[in-house]
Amino acid sequence: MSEYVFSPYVIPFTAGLIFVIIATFYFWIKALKQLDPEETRKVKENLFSLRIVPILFSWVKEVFLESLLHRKIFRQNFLLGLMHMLIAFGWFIAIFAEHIRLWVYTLNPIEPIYFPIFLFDFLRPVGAESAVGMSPAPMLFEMTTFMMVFIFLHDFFMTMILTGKALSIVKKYKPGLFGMTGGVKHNQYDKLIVMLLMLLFIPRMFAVGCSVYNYGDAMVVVNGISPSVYAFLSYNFGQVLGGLGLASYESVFWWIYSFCIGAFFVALPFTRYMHIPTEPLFIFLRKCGVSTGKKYTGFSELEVLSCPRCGICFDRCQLNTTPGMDVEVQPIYMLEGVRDKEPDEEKVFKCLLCERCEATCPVDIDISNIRITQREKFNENKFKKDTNRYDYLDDAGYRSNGGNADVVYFAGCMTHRTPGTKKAMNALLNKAGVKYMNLDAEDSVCCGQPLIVDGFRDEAQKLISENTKRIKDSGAKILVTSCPVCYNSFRKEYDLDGVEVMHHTQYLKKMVDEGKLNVKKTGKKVVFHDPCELGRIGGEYEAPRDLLKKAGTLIEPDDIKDDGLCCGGSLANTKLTNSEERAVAGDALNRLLAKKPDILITACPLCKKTLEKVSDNKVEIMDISEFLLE
Amino acid sequence: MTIDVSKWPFGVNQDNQVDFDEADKSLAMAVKAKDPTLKLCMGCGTCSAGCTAGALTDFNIRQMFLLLNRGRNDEVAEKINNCMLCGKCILGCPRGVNTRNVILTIREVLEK
Repeated sequence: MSEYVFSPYVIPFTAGLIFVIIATFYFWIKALKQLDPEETRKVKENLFSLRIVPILFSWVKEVFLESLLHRKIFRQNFLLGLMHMLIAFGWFIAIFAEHIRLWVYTLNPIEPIYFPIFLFDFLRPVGAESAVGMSPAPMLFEMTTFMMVFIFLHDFFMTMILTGKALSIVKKYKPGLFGMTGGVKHNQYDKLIVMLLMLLFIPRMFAVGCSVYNYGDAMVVVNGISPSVYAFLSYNFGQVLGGLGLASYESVFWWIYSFCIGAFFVALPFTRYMHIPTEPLFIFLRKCGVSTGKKYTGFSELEVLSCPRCGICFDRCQLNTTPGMDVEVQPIYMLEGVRDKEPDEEKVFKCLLCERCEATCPVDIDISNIRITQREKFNENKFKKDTNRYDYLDDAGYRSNGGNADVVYFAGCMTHRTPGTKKAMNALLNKAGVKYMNLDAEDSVCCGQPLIVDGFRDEAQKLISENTKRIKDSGAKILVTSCPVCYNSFRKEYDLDGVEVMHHTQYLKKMVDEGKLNVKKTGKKVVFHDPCELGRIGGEYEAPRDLLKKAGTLIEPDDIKDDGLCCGGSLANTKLTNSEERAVAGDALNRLLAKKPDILITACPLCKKTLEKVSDNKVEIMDISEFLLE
Repeated sequence: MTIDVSKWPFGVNQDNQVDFDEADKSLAMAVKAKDPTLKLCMGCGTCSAGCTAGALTDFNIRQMFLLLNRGRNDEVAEKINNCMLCGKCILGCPRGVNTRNVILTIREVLEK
């Protein structure tokens, strides 16, 4: 075909599409350039080897399951997932189906990019030659079974999208049905683009309806199926429009539609919908093994752009859900500031880093790591960097034990404030006959994690090297700690050369499994509170539960494991006021005690202390080691 | 026999005198403006009793706050960075002073 069918109304759409493609490449290339050399190496290594095959396979799988079907949102709430799936998958498959229809018709894969979008006008059934303002005349097709099926599919997918849109209107007024509170405040650009997305399918339906009406008798009965059945949406809607005398305005509707979709594309890079073009690249890089770790790189930039501001994190955050609290620091707001290059100090710092948001983020953004890198940036401007500040540790006079321990027990600073745990652990270790030593009984050094989560990773290095020296000096192969904060610190920040890091729940379970410790069953009803640092961040849910099932009757409250509540005492926060912390703790305690247990058990000294402060002696709060010792 | 006070498990301060008319309280005022919880401090010393850094050096949060209130800012600046931010102090504080944030605020204000 030498000459392409063209009509001036395709210009706004085409211009918008070209703009969004250029913008996408701009953001992609900018992000890829900012990748860390290490990350670039990882990507290249994977790209030019056979490993690329499974990576591509899992990439396609994840893009299909998450970006189109929205599987993770389905897990959150069926209606919410359905809404997202209908719009995203419906739209994608509708465009795809129109492409197939065109390709099969022309047998030419290279067609103008505007063609499939306006296919109903450009590709007309034989007998409906007259189209308005089009040069040359539209292409014609025989009304075959194939064409019928594709017209049906178009109507079917359009119905999906419109149902999704209808659901989104319901969601606006009844967010509860979708498992949301609906309290998210979007900025003006986001509101605009939602309106455009809402609007653009309406003129499309008008335009398609008018086209189909104007086909007139060319819409023939195929295989005994009448057009009112196979084109159940466009034909019947066209009849309504024709009845109203609107069919002669067909080109006007095409113009409006083209403008809407063009405006949508132009607005897209400035709004949350930028997640649509960045997510595929983000998922690909993640499949290559890249993630946001200790530095803010081009990958983090992609993660920030991939945040769709869906608001799921907002409804999970205890700073929002705790009655009477209205602190707007959720990732949805924090990442928006990072994206616009003007992060807000309060939003970055006022957070417990409990990772409740991260556990349900449908895009799997490394929210906490991004937050920590942002904290580091703020601290760089606020504080004079002083990496020598802990040089006094060199003179601390640590005395070696001779390196003959099998197990080294690091209670942790927080455990020193709940000495019951420390005593119980010592008693249990003695009972089990373990050859162990207390690493921090005196002259203890902090593990460094509180500094790291508050954005002082450089300054924490001295603490890390001092503790590493002491741990290696002990000669032990297992490091047991009672504080989940230390547990994560040792696992993630330390290089311990094969010393196994265990939380005391894991170690006690090991002792019980090996028969070194006996646990007596008591009839007490206990509830286990998942500490954030042990559960979501450390990934240990089962060890404490196994122990408690052996020692008592474990009842599970509503919020367990990934949904576990934060006690509010987190060391990652310095900005929350005392009363706000107590409000979070009080709410968490009430929800934990809903099933009236005899004892509330936790495995984190910080949680224990924080919950004790608000418990008013309503319930006994114990560390798991104290309970087992009883 | 002379008594060597440096072997005692607690410090003994030199005699000193504070002239509140001349003391530079700008730092204390700035810190309290940024984190008002410091005003709640009653100087009980629970924070200092368990302090991780305090066990290794002569760093003492309670003393830090006293020095701050008395305008002895140089001494504050000299010692404030000994803190490891571990948070033991905040668990013990009976008055709800956000000690970790106060320490950071002092550092921040000193920088300006």
